[in-house]
Amino acid sequence: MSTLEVSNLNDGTTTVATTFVTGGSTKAWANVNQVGTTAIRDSLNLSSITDSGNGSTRHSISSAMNNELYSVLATCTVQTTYDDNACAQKVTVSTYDIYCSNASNTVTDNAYAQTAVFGDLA
Amino acid sequence: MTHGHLWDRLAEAKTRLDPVQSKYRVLFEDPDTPDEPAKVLVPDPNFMACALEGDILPPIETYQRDRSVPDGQPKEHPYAAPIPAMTEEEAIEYLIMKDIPPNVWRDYEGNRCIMRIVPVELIPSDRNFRNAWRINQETEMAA
Repeated sequence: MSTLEVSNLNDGTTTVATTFVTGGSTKAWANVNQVGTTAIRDSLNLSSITDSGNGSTRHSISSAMNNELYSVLATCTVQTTYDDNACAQKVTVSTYDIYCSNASNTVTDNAYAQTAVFGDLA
Repeated sequence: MTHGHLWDRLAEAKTRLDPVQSKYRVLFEDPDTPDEPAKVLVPDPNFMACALEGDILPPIETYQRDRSVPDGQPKEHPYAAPIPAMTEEEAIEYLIMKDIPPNVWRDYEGNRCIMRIVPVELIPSDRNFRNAWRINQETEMAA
């Protein structure tokens, strides 16, 4: 694998620092099926997930974040109504949880529990 | 030869390695939260591919040492030299030590069985009463 060392990228009209790209790209993401036997469809920078109960899944990151100021975005697919929702909670620099719930705000398994992590790597 | 950052190795490996779905799951109960249901650890397929390939993941000891490093301070595991290929069983042991709290797999001194590695077929797919799952103490059944 070769390495290209550049400080800026230019498309002919606009110049941006490479940190603009590396700092803004997702550092980890996951697409998880919580229904039935919990499984990971695809991911980046994850080592495992832990099925903690109905609608609740802990994600463990392989290459940890630098501090707990990182950001986790969580979404879920619409299963019954458009009121289904998901929220994420950071636990440590290498673990975070997702909780999926239905229109009644009851924590419920979701077929597409999806997360993305942004921030600085350790 | 430099081995670069762990994240770079993981991203590069994802482009060339097929994911590997493990045939194992790890059931465990946290003794600090006895009222919570049994949890099920699911290995990540891309992680398993890296573990079986070798020369990508750092030594497990680096993760354990990094647990005591304060946030924002340099950590050891992203820059540690990668380890050789593991078997699937060794990869599961690696995950237990990395992703399950030590009070489950190292420090627990009670008589109750609180952790068990099981084939995936033993995990119920019927999630009725999911929040009441416990590890069966009497037989080899999973839950």
